[in-house]
Amino acid sequence: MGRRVDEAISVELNGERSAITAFSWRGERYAVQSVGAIWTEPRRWWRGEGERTWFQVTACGLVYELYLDHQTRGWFLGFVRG
Amino acid sequence: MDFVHLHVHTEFSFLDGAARHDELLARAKALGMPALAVTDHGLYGVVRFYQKAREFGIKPLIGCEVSVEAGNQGRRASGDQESGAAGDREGSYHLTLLARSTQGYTSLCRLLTAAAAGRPATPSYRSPPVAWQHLAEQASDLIALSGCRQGEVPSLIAQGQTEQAVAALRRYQALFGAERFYLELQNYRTPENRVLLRRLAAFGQEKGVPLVATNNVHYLEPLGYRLHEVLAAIRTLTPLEAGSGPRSMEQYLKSPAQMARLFREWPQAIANTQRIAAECQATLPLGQPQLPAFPLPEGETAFSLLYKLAFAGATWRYRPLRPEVARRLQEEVEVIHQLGLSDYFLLVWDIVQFARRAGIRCSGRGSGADSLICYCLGITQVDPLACHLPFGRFLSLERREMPDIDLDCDSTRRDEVLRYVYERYGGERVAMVATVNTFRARGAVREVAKVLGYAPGEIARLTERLPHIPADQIGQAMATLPELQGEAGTEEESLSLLWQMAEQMDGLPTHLSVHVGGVIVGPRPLAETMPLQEAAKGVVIAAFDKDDVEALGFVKLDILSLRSLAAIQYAVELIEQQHGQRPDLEHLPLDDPKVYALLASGQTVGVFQLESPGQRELQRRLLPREFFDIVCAVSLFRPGPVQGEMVEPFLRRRHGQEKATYLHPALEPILKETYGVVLFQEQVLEVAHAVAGFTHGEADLLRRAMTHDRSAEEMARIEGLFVAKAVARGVTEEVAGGIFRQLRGFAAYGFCRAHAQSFALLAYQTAWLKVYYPAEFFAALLTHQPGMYPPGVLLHEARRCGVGVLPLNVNHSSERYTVEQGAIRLSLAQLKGMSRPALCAILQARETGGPFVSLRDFCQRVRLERPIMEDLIRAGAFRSLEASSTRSLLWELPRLFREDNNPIPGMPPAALPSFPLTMQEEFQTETSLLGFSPENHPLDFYRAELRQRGVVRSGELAHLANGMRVEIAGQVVGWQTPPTKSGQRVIFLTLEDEDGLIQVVIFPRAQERCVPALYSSSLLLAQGTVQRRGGATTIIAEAIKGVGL
Repeated sequence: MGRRVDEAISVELNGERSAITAFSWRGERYAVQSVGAIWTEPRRWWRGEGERTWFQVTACGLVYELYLDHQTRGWFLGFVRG
Repeated sequence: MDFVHLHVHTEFSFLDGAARHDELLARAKALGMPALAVTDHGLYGVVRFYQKAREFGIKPLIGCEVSVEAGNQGRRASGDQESGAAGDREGSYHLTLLARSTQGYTSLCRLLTAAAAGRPATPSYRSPPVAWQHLAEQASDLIALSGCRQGEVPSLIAQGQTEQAVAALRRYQALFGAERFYLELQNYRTPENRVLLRRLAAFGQEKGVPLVATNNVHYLEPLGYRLHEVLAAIRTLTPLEAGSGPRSMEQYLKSPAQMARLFREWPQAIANTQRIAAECQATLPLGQPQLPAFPLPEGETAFSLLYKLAFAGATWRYRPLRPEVARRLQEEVEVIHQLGLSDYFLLVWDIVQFARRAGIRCSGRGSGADSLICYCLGITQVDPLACHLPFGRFLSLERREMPDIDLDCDSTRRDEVLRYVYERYGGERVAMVATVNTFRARGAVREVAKVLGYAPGEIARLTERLPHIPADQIGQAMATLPELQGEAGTEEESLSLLWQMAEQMDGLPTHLSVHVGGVIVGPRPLAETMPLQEAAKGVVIAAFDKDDVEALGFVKLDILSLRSLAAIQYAVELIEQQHGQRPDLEHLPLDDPKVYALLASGQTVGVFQLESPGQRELQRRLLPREFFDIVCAVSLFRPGPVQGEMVEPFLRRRHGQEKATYLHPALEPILKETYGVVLFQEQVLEVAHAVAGFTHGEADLLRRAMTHDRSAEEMARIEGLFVAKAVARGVTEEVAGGIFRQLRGFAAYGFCRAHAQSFALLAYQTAWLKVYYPAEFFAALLTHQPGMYPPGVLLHEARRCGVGVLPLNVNHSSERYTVEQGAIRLSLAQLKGMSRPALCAILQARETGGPFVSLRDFCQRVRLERPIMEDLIRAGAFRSLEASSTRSLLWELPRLFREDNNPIPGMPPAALPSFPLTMQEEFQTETSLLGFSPENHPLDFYRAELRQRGVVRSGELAHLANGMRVEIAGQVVGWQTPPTKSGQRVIFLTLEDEDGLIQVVIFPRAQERCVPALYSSSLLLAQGTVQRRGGATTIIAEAIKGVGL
């Protein structure tokens, strides 16, 4: 269960750019406590849609699913889960 | 940590695997993997994978993924009546199997064969599901992995049916042994997959089942999933938009480090991959001869019987028997014996004898004609001594390759010969060889366009102009061919994606089909070495192609279907019917001047091997006068000699315009008959033998080495060997080097003379038939259509030879073209829409009730569907019975279809004012129904106008000066684009007008102004210049446009 969001965010990466340390959504900054599953989702590539890599992160006790759109190189918040 | 991929689908998981063998092995090697499994849906690619893996230094692990039928496991395995178990569910479950040993490989072959037995032939995308019973019978020496999410245990776990999962687990463990059944874990990283992964791992650990990590590999790189999805969409006939089910881009060949990270919680699952890889020691029995055993009479060995038959045959062929014959025969028998092939030759002899007894026209060709034994056994009809054909070209101790004998059979009776082989040698030991079909440009574009959602009309438009090229040349074709510019350009993004995906599919296998004629006969049941399956007509085929079966040590025999032989046979029957005697084509004198006059005229439409536009021109320039000229012609007009620029020197020297020169006196006796040009492969052998002292076997190895792609160093080494041996025999180094270069230049293009001799004989026979019995000849050609020209062209050619054409007639036409008083009667089968049942009904009614007397009589005696009745009327099949016009008969027809024969109420009386079809309407009707008009040529309707314009007929071209500008018109017969030395496309277009065929050449500079018309009209007007070479006239096109109808 969760709430679909699909809004643009900005993310902060660690020095090696290998992990997300925080993200900002609707003007608020969320420090990432832990990173869970990471996976890549195929989309309708035949329509020009890029793949998305998803990151399941925990912040403020909630699970947030962020994704990086390979086509636009933009970061988005996909879901907020309980 | 070391890891081995144990679940891998290659391109031989048809329309599922998107990774090629080379790519997978190269990547595995780069990643430091010591072994790699192949687990396709069947064992289709296993031989070549095995060979390639060894070349890469990677241990191949042989396996396959099978589908196990659901529904029977519980009852069959344990005999209990448990229901509601997973076994009752419809469908099947995946199971990954790996062979522990060569015996395990045999188990897989037998398992797949049992699964395929008795199944109706379907597109062979994958092997059929296996029954539990068969799995139980063939579990020996196999390791089983539980499969992907579609495996029985994983799917039950996913559904929370733990009890059933335990029951299933126990069944598999009972079958394979607890230590040889592993629970397969896959980590695709998605949250859903991780849930299943954890449950499976926990289940395995709780039940003490060993775990193994796999990645169910289907492609090489992450983005390879796109091609995989396209293939799956093609396979399931589903557009990409409509695709459903879980998607992943994780099933690529991951590195050991990646796999280790993904399974860090279960390190034993990684370690077990190494353990399994070490346990699997299956090897394929490559290179071990699997020769058939001929059933011998008591007291004989294969050698003794072959010896007797060969010498008996020699006394039949040679009267008197000469010492050189005996010597050569002795040599050949000994080589055959030393190679262990006596049984094989007896088998071929036996098949030919059967064909003879059954009256089936059958003849060996190819390099088998280099063998005197084949000639004496009656397998071939070419005397190798008279034609200077060395045995070493066919078989030698040095080369030690299996012989490849081709038998051409009458196409209408070839299946009888195959049936004989199956019955004689036992169905278990005989199989036809498979062919792997692969994507080329047109097929790839068509299929990708379908799944991308293009409309059928659009797909036709996109594909019809694509040449027949490999798919990876699409981009190049787009950029260079004028007919592909603009309309099918790459400016649209969607089209760009289409071309891109189609290019990626180049060479990917699509399905298995039956080889044209390759058959293998084994010493033991074939299912021990390869899976067998059934194709259409119940033919058993091996799941391997000709290269695979050869690698496994089997000798292939090609029993081919040749429509020309069927045509010749039928012509002979017609001649006997019409003239009361049967011509003996096997003993025709080969020096008939009328035959050579026909060939020299270039009027060779219908003549075997000599009817193509290029051959017709060659005949007019060559002016053949003896049989050897035909042999040369068959050999000369091939892509090789044309590219190798051998044709012109040959012709110039032939006509005394140039003198042949020889680098060394030893070359003259060998090359004199071909004017100093190395035309035949056998000549390469003779030169190497005469100049450098090679045996014929060694020389053939040399020839092959020169014809394959070799590095510069390799060729230098071969040249060094040749030169050294020649110098040792007193030849100067300079001359030896020159001879080698001459050989090397021609070796790639030389033709097998034995093959050419066999074909030349057929060419002569067909030319003879055309000269002396043109009506019967053309009736036979029209019936069997063995050549390159459609029926309309053949009929017009028959007319030009003075043969009349009789129309379709319900009382006189039969299922084949026939001859009546020197004229050809059209066949009922020529009518489009005429089904076999309808045709048989007509013939049956005629046979039992006599000729039809009226349309009404026909309708009452033959119950046909109305559409075919209307077509028969329109095609004029009732003209001899009914005086009424076509329109009147059509008008009357519905009434005749009524049971009570009363007029339909409201319909006008049967008799109507007659308003016959115009000539143009008749022409269009006939063409649409028959594919041609027996009476008219399409240009008949334009000739007056064309003449006013100054358009010249083909019959007038011979009187025009070389270089003269001219306009000609004709119906398109066809065009070719053979390979050229420059690599540029040159189009050879054949048009036909009322007088005959016209050759038009379109060079690259003119293609923009010419090619678009080829796709838009079947009647063309061409402007160009006359080119005359010898007796041959060609039009060099400058511009072409369509003529409207």
